[in-house]
Amino acid sequence: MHISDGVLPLSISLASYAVTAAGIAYSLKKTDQKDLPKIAVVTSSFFVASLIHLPMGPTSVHLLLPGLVGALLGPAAAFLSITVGLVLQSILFQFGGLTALGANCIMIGVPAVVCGTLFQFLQGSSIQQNSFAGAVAGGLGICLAALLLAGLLYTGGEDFFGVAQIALAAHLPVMIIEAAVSACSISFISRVKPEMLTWSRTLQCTNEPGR
Amino acid sequence: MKLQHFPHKILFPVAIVLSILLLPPSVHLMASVPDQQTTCGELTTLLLEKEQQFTREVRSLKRDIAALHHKLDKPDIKDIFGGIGYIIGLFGIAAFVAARRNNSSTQE
Repeated sequence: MHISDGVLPLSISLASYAVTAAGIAYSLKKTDQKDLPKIAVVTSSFFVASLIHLPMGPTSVHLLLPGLVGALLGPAAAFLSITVGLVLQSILFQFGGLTALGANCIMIGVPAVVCGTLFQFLQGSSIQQNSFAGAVAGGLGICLAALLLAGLLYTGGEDFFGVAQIALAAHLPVMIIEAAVSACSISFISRVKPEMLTWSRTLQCTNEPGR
Repeated sequence: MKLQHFPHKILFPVAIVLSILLLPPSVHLMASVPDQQTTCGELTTLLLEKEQQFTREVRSLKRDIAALHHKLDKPDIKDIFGGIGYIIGLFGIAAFVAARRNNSSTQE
């Protein structure tokens, strides 16, 4: 799910670039320096995940992972991570055009932020609760991305509900796969390294008065 | 007078010799017309065969080029690892800058 060059009107691409720049600025300000290695690793996996194509009937689908990125990094750092990943994807893999980069960042980045916030609300101490929160974040990420895609294409003169229906229907399998992948990853992480899921928040809380 | 003296007897052998001398080429000519026709037919079949062969080869070349284009469009392993390297490098630079800023602020 990438918007290509020339689909969106110029004003919308410029506006989306501006929103993306603002998002990066906010993200950079909020991101803790100690989180940087974790962000790098999660960004790399986000970058590579879109290359795993799963054959699905006549076409193939690929993972997007906005939900998992949001859940692992938290809402603040997620946008930065998604943007860096998408920039490199568009330069190296020609996924989506450079003029539509801002729109693509919003399309994947905003769901990541929303899912990150949601995950922090839903997550608990038990592994089951965490994996459930991961599944919800993963599925909702794709759903939101499809809706944002429809909204962005609507500005290009498409019919919103038609595009939304097609996008949601096409990404229904991705949604299920993504929810499963996110649930598995989160349950594995909460079993092996549970502090990774709450680390940044506790660190921020403990560091906040000192800074 | 002298023409009447012309020996008619000699004319016969001369005519026979001339006919023998002249006829073979004409016979050859008569024979070579169908021969040429067959070679033309053979040539056209040969040419057609060659043309088919060439079209086949060109088609396979075109298929190869299309496959190559398809392969070029898809990211290969170098792109993937290059991208991962870029990401880690970028965040490494960010971490380096942040660490330096932290260091300088603690030193001051």
